[in-house]
Amino acid sequence: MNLEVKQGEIFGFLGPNGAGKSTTLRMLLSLIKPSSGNIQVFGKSLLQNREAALSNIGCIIEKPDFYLYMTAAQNLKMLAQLNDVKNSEQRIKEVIDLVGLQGRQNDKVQTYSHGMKQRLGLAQALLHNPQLVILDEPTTGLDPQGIIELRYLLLRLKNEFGKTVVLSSHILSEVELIADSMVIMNKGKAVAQGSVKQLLSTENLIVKIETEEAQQVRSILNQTPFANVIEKTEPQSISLKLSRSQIPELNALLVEQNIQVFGISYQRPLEEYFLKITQAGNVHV
Amino acid sequence: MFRLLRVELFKIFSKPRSYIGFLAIAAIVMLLEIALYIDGKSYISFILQSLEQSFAVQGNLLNGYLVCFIILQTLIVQMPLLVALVTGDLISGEAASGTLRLMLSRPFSRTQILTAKFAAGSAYTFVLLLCLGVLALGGGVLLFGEGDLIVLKSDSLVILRSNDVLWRYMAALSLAFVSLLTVASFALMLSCFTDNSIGPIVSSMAVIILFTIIGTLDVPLFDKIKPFLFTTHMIIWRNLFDNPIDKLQVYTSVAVLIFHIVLFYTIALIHFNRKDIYT
Repeated sequence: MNLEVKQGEIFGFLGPNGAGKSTTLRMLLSLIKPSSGNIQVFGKSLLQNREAALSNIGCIIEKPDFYLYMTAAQNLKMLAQLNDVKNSEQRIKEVIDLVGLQGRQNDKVQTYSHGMKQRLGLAQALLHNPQLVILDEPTTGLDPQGIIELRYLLLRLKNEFGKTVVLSSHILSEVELIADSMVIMNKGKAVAQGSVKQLLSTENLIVKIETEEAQQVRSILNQTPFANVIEKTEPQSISLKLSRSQIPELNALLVEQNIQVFGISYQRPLEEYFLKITQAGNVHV
Repeated sequence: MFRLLRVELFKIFSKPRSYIGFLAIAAIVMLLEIALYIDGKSYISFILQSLEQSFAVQGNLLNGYLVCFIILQTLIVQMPLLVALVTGDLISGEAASGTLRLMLSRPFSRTQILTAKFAAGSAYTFVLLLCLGVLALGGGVLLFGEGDLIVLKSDSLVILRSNDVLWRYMAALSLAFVSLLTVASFALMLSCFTDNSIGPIVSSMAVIILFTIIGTLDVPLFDKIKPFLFTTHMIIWRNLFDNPIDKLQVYTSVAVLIFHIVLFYTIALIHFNRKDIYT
């Protein structure tokens, strides 16, 4: 696997459960040693120059980790000492404010809700002002409001603070919403990599028309240029390979022919592929 | 490295579990001192029963030095447990709670992290022992006063003049520190091999109890292995209350204990540096 993440972008690390996302991220943090190969972070080899490579990384792996018997402020203070953060009191206040935990920093972490722990985890990851932030499944266990807030926060990190964020997830739509580029992993290998726009382009969509008159629709389409792009005809639906811009034309044709259409939906090829590889894991896309 | 050590010390002394040792020592020492203060004379006459058949014992033998000796003898089993309770948790406890990931993803080498943990564990052991020394010796002298120390051995009786006792206690506590460091390094080593904190603590104690039993049983087969068990050498502090002191035996035991500390720490270091963190 050869991954390249551009500075200042949000990079999606996508794959079904067991694809090897967490293992790869753990290798990036030298928690697991690779059996072969080399990892370079900011041009520094992780195997030969571990300390220098790690000093510019903030992370949450699997779940945020804290000393539960300490307060949030104590956890951050201790981490500030470890990372040799200058003006640590000021910096702790900044990150507490950034993640919206002001007023609760002197409470013991064991009293925090899951969402608050997630935010504190992010504060920990950002405390030493790293250039690269690695977040492993950061939305796990968050409620919808929490997911939206986290998404907003990650976009702020990129846009306001110029951070590079590597975000792993098994939910394609989540990555699509915020990532600039992504890689899809399956069985330990990168199976697709590129910009989100390019990978999730709206060309070559699989468009599905739901109708009870599928055979009649097929006959109509056979007399048009759409005949060449018909993929599949089923009793109550017909699928075609189209670009998004062709859908209104198709819709108008069906209306003109008085065909009862119950729905037109589309799926991008990558979505279809991702669905296939995630079927075993029963993952939502 | 100094930053790491400060953080490790902060973690140890922020954890409620770390204070169990101090509370236990304070409770046991105070209980023993109060009991001896109230009923010490009958306790001493019970001990001297066999001796009085051959010797005429006059005067008050119960003084602070004797009380301290009795307390140290009593706490011989508890102290390793109290040390293992904290040092056995240093790696495995963090692995179980996930904070080991946090530590290992910081820009320090694993050798530095383990060394800082061992140093912090050693500092905790030292403070615990200091607490025992102050309470047992200081409290004993304060309550019972000073005097000559009579140490009753299975085959002899040692009488030490009061001005010859204090240095022996200092040396004994130093030897006890080396003994407890052996326990600490052993528990730390076990802690590197597992991801739950109870395992290394219980295993450390099980091994110490097993070795102690082997050490006390008079079975010829065991006699051959006794010199190689670190527990055999952990009680060497008692030899400092002999007159004259068998210095060679003391030096040998210290060397054996130091060898064990280095061995356990090296094994811990090799394993910890190779360990993949999945928790």
